[in-house]
Amino acid sequence: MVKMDTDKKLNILKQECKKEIPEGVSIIEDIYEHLVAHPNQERDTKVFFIKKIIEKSTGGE
Amino acid sequence: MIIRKLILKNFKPYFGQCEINLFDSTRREQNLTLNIGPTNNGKTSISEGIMWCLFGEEYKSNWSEFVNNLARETELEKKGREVNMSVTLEIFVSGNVYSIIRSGDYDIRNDKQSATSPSIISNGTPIDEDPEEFMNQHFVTLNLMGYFIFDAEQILKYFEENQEKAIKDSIDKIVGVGMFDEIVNVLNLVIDKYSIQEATLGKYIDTTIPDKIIGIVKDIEKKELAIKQLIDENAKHRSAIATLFSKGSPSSEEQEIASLLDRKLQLNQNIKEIKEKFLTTTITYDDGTEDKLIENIYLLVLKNVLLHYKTILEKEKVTKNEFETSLNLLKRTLSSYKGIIFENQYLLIPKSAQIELEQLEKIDKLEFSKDEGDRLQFLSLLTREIKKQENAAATFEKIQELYEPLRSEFISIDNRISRIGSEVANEMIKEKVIRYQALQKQIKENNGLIREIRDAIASLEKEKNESEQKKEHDDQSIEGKNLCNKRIELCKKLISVTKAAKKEFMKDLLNTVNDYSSKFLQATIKDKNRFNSIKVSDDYILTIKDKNGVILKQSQINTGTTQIALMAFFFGLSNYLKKKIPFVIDNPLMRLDVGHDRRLIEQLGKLDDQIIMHLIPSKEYSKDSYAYFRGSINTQNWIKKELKPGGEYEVSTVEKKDSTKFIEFDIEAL
Repeated sequence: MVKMDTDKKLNILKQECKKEIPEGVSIIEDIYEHLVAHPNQERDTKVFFIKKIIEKSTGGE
Repeated sequence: MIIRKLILKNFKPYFGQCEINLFDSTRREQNLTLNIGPTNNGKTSISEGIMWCLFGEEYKSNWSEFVNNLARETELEKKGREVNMSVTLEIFVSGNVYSIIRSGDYDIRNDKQSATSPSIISNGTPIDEDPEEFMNQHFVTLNLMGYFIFDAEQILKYFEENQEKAIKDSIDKIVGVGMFDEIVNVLNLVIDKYSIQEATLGKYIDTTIPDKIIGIVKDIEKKELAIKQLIDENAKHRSAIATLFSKGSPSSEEQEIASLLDRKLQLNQNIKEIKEKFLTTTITYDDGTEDKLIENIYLLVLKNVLLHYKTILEKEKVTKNEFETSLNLLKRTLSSYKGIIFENQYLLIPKSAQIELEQLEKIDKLEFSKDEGDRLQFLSLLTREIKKQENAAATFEKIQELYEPLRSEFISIDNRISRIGSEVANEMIKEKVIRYQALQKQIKENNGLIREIRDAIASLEKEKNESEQKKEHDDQSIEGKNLCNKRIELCKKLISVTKAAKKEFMKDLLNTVNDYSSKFLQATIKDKNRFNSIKVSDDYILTIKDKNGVILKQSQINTGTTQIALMAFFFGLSNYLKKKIPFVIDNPLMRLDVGHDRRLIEQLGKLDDQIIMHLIPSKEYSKDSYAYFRGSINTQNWIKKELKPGGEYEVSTVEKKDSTKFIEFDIEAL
């Protein structure tokens, strides 16, 4: 997809996130960019990375 | 962006190099380029040429199929091995002219194609920018190019047959709205993983441990308090001992007195027990009868009397006198013993003794003097009585044997005590010693209790440590569980946010697309009141509304209008991408009825974008339709295919025509 749309979607996501969970903005950014960068990645690998992102964001193991 | 020129070399039906002009810069106001030619004459190959130039192997992995057949044949005839195929796309962007060139060599004999990559030239030299970057900047991805270079007939057919799905797929493809669903899906999977982790951690947590630890601590405190109390108590006992004996303990003499008095007490007890035994002991006779020892005790006293009788009677000739004297003596003896004294206790002669007296009375009455039989009978009676006496005596002696040493010791102790001091003084010492001993005993018992309690405390401490270790582990598990729950909550919030964002994005997208599509529809449709606007709903259903906003039923919409609406939506989507890429449309008017096609032509002519259309003469391009095209035509090309003289291959050619005139053609000849 074109970059403009990617940015627009991400911006909308960030805006929505800011309203509900401001601390989640960076998580959303990371997840979004990860999924965009790895569209064909296996489901489990996606889950693994996103778990890592969430863990990193919430602290602890 | 304007596509100025396309140069095809050995590409599909184009043999050698073929230059196709697609934009006349002297007619900038006009935006329509018409490539007119019969079916299968090379129009679609122009679209394919552009796509291959832009995307190469990504568009067609086995591009050798595109190599012109005549070029292959010609090369083989020349004993050559390779055919060079290339496409050059000349575009005009922001005041600059760029040539995008893709070229590849095809090894005919080994059926192998070389790798290709685009090179971009401007003003005769390659641009400084990375070609990939240039392409990303000015074009869209391969799948999205299908919204700029397409066959209208196929697209309309697809949309008619798969309305909601086609609309949903297009929206997803163009704007990647599926990304939101992807985020939600992955977050749900993450929640599943955390839920499993949370449940696993919860399995091993023992919720009773904290209370157990509190219980143990309280228990330990109680026990420590008890120890303190016992220590205090012992201190008091020691103080009491100090008041009893100045030296802190009794002297050896004092201890001896206490010990002797103790022993005396003990002996008393033992003697008492022996006496009780004496009173309850039974004796068993030869004939099997039993008697209590006490009931026969008189025989001991009578022993000598009886023995005397026995001696007399054993004499073969006993005189009546002798017998009577003895008998009287016996009577007196028996009558004088109503009871006996044993160890200061007066024991009554039992009834059985009275019975013996009666026996003696009987003896007294016997005719005894000369009767040998009587004598022997009496002797027998006496022998039996003596036997009984012996039996009782033996039993008694045994008891005596137990009793005598105790009695001797008792007497000895008494003597020793009287030698040491007075009985009263000794008793006082004894009392003090007893008190001392009782206190010492209490101290000893308390120390024993303290040891027991300390052991119990050690055991509790061990249990407490184990419980604390388990609790520490549990606390980590609880922390892990809480963290899992926190993350699950976070994921749920992110899902909620993502869903809201999708809704928001879709709203924005559909508003934009619906707005554009509605304007396009209004410009293209005749009855603008009846067919006023287009709305694609959240669930991807395309509806047409009248001017009052009432959604029209499917039965109220004719096919042509549906097609225009779909095309309007399609242009709406392309417009949403906001990329000024020229449209290259195959068969744009094939499925439209008269009226709709003309209004579509007019509408397309009004757009800012360059639109290159491939038209079939007669069906899409006629004198009538030209009238609608005329004002907007920038360039007109006539495309035809013809057999090369002497050859078996047809080759397409492109002839640029005057844009201001209708291209005359012979329908029959086509």
